[in-house]
Amino acid sequence: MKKWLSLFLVMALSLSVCALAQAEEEKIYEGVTIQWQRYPAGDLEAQTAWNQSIVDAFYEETGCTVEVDMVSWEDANTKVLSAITADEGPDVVQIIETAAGQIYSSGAFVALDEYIDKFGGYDAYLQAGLDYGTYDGVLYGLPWGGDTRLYYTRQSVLDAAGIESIPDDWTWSDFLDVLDKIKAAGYEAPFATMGSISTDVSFYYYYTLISNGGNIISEDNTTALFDSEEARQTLKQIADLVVDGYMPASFAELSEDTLTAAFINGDVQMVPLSSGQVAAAAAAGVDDIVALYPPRGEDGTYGGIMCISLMSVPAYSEHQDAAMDFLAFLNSKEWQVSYNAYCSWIPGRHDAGQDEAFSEGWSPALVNGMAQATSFMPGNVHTVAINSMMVEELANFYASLSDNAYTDEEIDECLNRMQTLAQAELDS
Amino acid sequence: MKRQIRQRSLRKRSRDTLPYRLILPAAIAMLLIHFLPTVIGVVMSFTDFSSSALRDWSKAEFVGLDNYADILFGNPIQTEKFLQSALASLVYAVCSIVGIYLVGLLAALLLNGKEKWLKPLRGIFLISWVVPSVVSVFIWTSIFSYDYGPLNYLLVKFGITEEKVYWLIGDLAWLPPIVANIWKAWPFAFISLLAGLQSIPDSLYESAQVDGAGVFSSFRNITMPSLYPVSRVIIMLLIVWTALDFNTTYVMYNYSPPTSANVLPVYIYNVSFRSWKFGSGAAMSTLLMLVMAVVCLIYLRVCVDNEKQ
Repeated sequence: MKKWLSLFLVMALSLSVCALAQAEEEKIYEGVTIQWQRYPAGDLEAQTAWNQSIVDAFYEETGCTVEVDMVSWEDANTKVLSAITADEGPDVVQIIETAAGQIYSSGAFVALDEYIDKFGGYDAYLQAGLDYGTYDGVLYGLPWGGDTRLYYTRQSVLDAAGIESIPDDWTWSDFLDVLDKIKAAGYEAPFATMGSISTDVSFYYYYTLISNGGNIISEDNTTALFDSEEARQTLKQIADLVVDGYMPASFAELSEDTLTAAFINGDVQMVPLSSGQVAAAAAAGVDDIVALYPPRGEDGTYGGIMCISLMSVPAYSEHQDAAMDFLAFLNSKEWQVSYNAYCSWIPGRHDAGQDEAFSEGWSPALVNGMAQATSFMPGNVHTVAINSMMVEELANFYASLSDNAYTDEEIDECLNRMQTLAQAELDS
Repeated sequence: MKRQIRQRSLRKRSRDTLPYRLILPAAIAMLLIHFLPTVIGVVMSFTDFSSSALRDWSKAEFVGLDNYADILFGNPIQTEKFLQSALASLVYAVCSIVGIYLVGLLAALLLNGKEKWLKPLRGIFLISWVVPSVVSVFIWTSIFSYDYGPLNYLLVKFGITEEKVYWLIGDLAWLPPIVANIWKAWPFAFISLLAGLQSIPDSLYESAQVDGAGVFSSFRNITMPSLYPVSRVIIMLLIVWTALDFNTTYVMYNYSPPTSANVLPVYIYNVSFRSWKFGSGAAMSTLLMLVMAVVCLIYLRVCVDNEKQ
């Protein structure tokens, strides 16, 4: 009898220990599946591999399965629109910075301020990135990764032009001197930027305007400033690049892809590009790329622009806790640094960008330029409309430069139209 | 006896309603896919529907005809952009329809015969129709490119122009989408007109020849009148397709086409899905639908009158 009782007690004890062990093995989000929607930047295969590594690591830690939905940049906003309207969709969504204002104004996203400590604190992030993710004083999007538009040329071009180095704080006058030297070295098209069907049409005008001390709207987001002297000066500066023979008039046809191709082919010697485009040029065999800060205004004002995507959690998500933890995982310093090996983006976390493990192999101009860059109409519901308007009006103006000439009236007409349209948009 | 009469009556009613019952599934599908969204769109056009109403449509404020007023005369620059876009659409539609029909007719006349060697040619002529439209537009965009396009190369090489021409920007930007559209769609007109030509009895031409009619006279008095029924259908379809064509312009110029090429479907898309001004976009769509309906009705009326004559 005692023998059977002892055996029973031992078995009961063993079973209890096993049950306890089993309970400990169950992870916090066991059986939970969330969806993560993002768009690629750079090499798709490499990023798919990175996606897999992070979702595997998150699963290992939390038991939560993350399904990744890669959508194209062009489709991303439309998919978000559909998800908001249908009140269902991905649990973590990558948002394009220019559309952030109007997307967050829908009220469909969870405020992230109360979770900021989980994400590393406000100070861990680039301020311009936080500006993009904030609407009406509330943080809805965590800056994840982006870049800043630098100028790029080739070392071989600089050598041929007899240019030893270009200082980080070069001004527009210095820029024109450099172009003169490149032209004197026999290059027909020293410089080109995008003139057609690209957000960079408005971006290039914008950050050149910033370097001249101007802006496109007032700080309180109520008044358009296209009728300022700085705006006039900036548009003339760009037009003069064509008239003075530094930039071919056919730049008005150049899109992102064709400008990159022109740089790769050596048809154009200096271009402002995104880091993704530069990565494409490097992959195409251009191995002596030199990164330069955008030229400053004559008084030294720096005019870089930051483009950065944001990660947000929609209010319809049924697994907000898991989504927030995944967001924290994505935006951890460790994973932001690791993304470097797979993508051509600068992390939204300032500390990750400055980390040695990340910055090795990257141009200091890109990392430091990101930290100095400004944002394009952050937290504004009119950003997309005004940006689209600017792209259209500027592209039309650039097309009119096909005869390598312009008049002051044409400059004024373009700026007046942008002023009227932008003000009407801000007033609506 | 009464039962037989009742059964006969039931069978008759069943036969009478059979056509309607057979088309009922398609009618329900049409209602859900076409009619219902159209009604929703028209209702939306009377509201200030924007991003704030996405999650709760009741938040969209009723604004009456304000959207229509803004488009047509309320806001000078917005009205100007809308009318410019409407003009671009008109030019695109008219030039495309004329080009597609004429090229299709020419090809049909050339290949109208019973010789065996014509058959493979007819197949080859259909190639542009089966090439995906995105692919063909990309090809045409590169053909018209200023720096790299073969068109400019040939124009300068053969001395047709002294300098390269800007096709994709500036005043001529309306032309490349039309050329791309004609290239894509002419086989449709060709195959329809060829079928029409082959249904014309040879005896008509033989009688005309006996009466001393020449080639041009036969074409004017026999061929074209005989092709009238199929031409009417072709042109009607082309009116609808070209006026509502979004793909060609959007693939060629993306979301910011030059003013002369900024057709209404692309403009409406930008207003609705880039600026999220769904009320304005719905109003423009409704106006476009009404204009298309009037144009089609007038066209059909003219055709019926011509047929009666």
